[in-house]
Amino acid sequence: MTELPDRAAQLWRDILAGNPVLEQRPDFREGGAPELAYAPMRDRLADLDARLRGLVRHPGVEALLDDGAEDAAELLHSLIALGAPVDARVSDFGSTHYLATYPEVAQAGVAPFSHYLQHGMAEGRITLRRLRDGLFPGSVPRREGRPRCLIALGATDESATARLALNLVRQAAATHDVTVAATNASSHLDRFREACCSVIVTPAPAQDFDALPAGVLDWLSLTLLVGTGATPFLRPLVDRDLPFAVYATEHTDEILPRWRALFPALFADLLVFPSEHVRASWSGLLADLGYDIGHDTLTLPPATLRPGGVKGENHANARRHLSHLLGLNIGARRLVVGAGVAHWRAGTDLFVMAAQAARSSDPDALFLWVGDGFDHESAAFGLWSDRHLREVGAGSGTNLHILPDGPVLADALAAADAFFHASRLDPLPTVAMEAVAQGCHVVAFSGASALSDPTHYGIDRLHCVPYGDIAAAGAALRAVPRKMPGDPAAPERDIFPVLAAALTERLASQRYFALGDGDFDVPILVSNRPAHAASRTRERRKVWTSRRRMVWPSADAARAELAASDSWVHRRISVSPFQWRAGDAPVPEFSLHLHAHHLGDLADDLAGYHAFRAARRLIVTTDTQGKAETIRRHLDRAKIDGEVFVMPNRGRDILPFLRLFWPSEGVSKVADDGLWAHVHLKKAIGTSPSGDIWRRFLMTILLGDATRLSSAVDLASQDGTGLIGAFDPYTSGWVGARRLLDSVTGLPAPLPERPLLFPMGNMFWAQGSAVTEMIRLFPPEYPWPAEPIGNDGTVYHLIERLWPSAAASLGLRSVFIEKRDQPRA
Amino acid sequence: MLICIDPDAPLPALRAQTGDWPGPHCICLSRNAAVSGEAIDVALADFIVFRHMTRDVSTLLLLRDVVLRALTPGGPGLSGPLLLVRGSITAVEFDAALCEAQAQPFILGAIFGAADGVLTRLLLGAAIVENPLFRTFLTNLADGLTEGHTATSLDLLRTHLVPHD
Repeated sequence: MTELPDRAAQLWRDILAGNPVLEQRPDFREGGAPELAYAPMRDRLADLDARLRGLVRHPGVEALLDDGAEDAAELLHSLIALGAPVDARVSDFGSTHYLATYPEVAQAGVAPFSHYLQHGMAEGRITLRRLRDGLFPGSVPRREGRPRCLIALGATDESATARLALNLVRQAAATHDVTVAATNASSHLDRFREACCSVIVTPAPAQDFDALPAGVLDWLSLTLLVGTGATPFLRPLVDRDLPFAVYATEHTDEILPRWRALFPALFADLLVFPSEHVRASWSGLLADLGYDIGHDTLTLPPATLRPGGVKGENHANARRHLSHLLGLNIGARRLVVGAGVAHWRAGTDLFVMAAQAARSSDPDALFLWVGDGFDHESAAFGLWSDRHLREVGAGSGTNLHILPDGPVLADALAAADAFFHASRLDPLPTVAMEAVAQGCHVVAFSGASALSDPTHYGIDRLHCVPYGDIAAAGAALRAVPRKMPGDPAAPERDIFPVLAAALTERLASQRYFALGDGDFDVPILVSNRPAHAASRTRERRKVWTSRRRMVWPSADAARAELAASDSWVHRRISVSPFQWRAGDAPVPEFSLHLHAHHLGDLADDLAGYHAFRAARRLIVTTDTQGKAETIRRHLDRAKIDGEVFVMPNRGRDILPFLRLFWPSEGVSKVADDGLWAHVHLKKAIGTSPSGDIWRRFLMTILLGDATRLSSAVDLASQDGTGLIGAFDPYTSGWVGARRLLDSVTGLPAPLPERPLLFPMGNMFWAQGSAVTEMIRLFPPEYPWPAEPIGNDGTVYHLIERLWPSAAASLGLRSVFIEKRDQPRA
Repeated sequence: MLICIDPDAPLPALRAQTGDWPGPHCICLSRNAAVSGEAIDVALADFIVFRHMTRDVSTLLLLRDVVLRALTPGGPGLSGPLLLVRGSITAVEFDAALCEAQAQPFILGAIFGAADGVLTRLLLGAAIVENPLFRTFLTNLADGLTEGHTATSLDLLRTHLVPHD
């Protein structure tokens, strides 16, 4: 055996000191997993050494490579091949992190380092380098004995949310060692670094937090998530049983997809709102979750209306400066200022139209918008605003001017007599509040922002006009007096101490704790992989400890909640266990409707569910003649009799089903009192394997399998039964459909606050009479929305939730069948 | 700590009867307990409430999960003697348990239901409860322990945490 190079051998021993591997493998060139051996890998990858060079992190190994030592690359390769924790110590490749980031690699059972070298690197797959490049020291040194605080947000940009987060960081730093975590950094990262001890930037906290240097998350006394952009941080916090507050800086109207509002609300120990206006937008979601509003929420405005003034000299200087920038003499003209990124949201167009109208009604007034976003090539807004401005005239010689955002805003507010807050929806109207502090009167639309909060009633500088009423806004602006010199406003108070105290009190008051695990192992934040079972238990336990709704602990829990409800709908809902139908008993007569928008799984369905053959009548609807012909061929091949009808592509699967009962449709008469099963082959965009699992869950519980029927058909045919659905472990409220509840008329009593159970996925058994009752509520002449429709909040989503109500309206019961061993997600 | 598992008695009576027991007063509702949300709200005024979601959990594992949760940050904590009662306890029995606990810091007493062998009463002295090894003992209890394993498990606890003269 050749003598080992001393330095390489010594490094091998030093790095592995105390590691049992050293005893088994004193020579890094011998032993080890064959599939990870250096020489064969180098035969496969000619540039292996260069690839390894790009990964090195250990200074000693790096020096060896720099010196061109013969076995340096093999040493590094051998160390990384040992896996965790050695690999992450010496390189930017960490097998644990790689497998957490790429579960398909874990599932394939391949060695992660081998996969990365041969495939992952070329594919640009992530390594620890991304996380490590995202770790930044802050300017504030850590201090012994200081409590530690983590403040997380989305982007460290110029948004109102980021500015709020930065203020909170600065306030927290007075009493805490602060670590900031963000999903992505921007040019304003340095402002955060100046205010805290360290910054972590990662777009994937769930994968990256386990790879953080030791101690980063230790001894946290307080964690705060600011804005729903911080939602990616939920999972590692929940998984570590770290409590936190969420400062919800957006209206739910503007939060898409919906889970970005749902999950922060679901898991927050304390949910904080900047205003009652924002809180009101969350009320439906909180009602669906069963929130204890008084205990678990707090309204804490980041800024308040503090009437103040500007010294006369400052006012004059500001007006002179603006005059210079605008190329005119403002003189004593009434100055109306608006500000913000130009957009429909900010009401920039409304501001412009107010300026237009003022040309005749208030020719003395000058309108100035300060803000960016006038990109004339952007169809989102800039293209239209550019056209508008060119048509009406802006700039020199007109009463309407635009300046880009920047320090000029301070002068504009100091100089202005009035601030027109033309925003259509603004959760953080901080500029308007600053305008009041600078002595301006503010005109705003009622219901558009926190300026409408009851706490602001009676403030004489605030003038709320009907929403979107430009004429009323113009009249209010005309009535605004000229600004007089005044004293500065009182300084804004710090809110961080209030928030910290509220979270501490909230946690100390917790007296209910959920233990163990329920009957249904279904994921919420975490995946459904077996390796994450403990994490799934923790997330469910947190939800149940807060007594919020997301997953039923058991069917018994649902029964208990139904029994405790006094709702006329809930009194007619029950839960029954699943049973296979006895093979020899006569099958009740039933018809089956399948809506087939996508045909990919049709052949599997026809072969996989005996119910298609057992039905007295099978009707398949679709939306094109071409699909109809394909369906007929499938039916012929399967030797199944069925009728195929083409329906307009409107109303997803719901309207095609209801239309079967419309007399005007021309379909052969449908018996109103017959028993129907309704299923569909609709696939939402981006359906994942979990979507397929869910569909199989529903189809099996409702229909059975290739040779057996579910007893659902027997339950559905019993006297007094109107609806049969599958008992879903997930709970769901009215959600977006809540906005349509008031429009539902003709039911015997008000609808319950929560539906509790309904046929999620809109597949079910129903008596024809229940369908007819639904049609009574939503007749053929209803203004059915056409595609494209939203993912939630349409009449179709409402109908899905109203089936038990339709049945109960006729005095019929709805039964939901629980099949605990059927995978749901 | 007082732990009442699925108490039979009305809560005001239970509170009045057990008020003298030192440490946090807890109710543990097993999976099968048919208790409404409103009843839980009432209980929270005087008790810390644990709700176990797992089906068919043995009494010892209920104890494990309650105590370990109580010891986590934000939990009510654990100190003093521990009395676990499943179902009901008379005033005389309670007073006797309190006296025994005060007099014998290493007491370990258990009563099992005659019909089903389920642990219905467990009394642990403060010296056992406050021994750090008690937490270790509970942590090491395996999931899936049934009522049939209780006696043996308690024997182990007695062997390791109760001094032998």
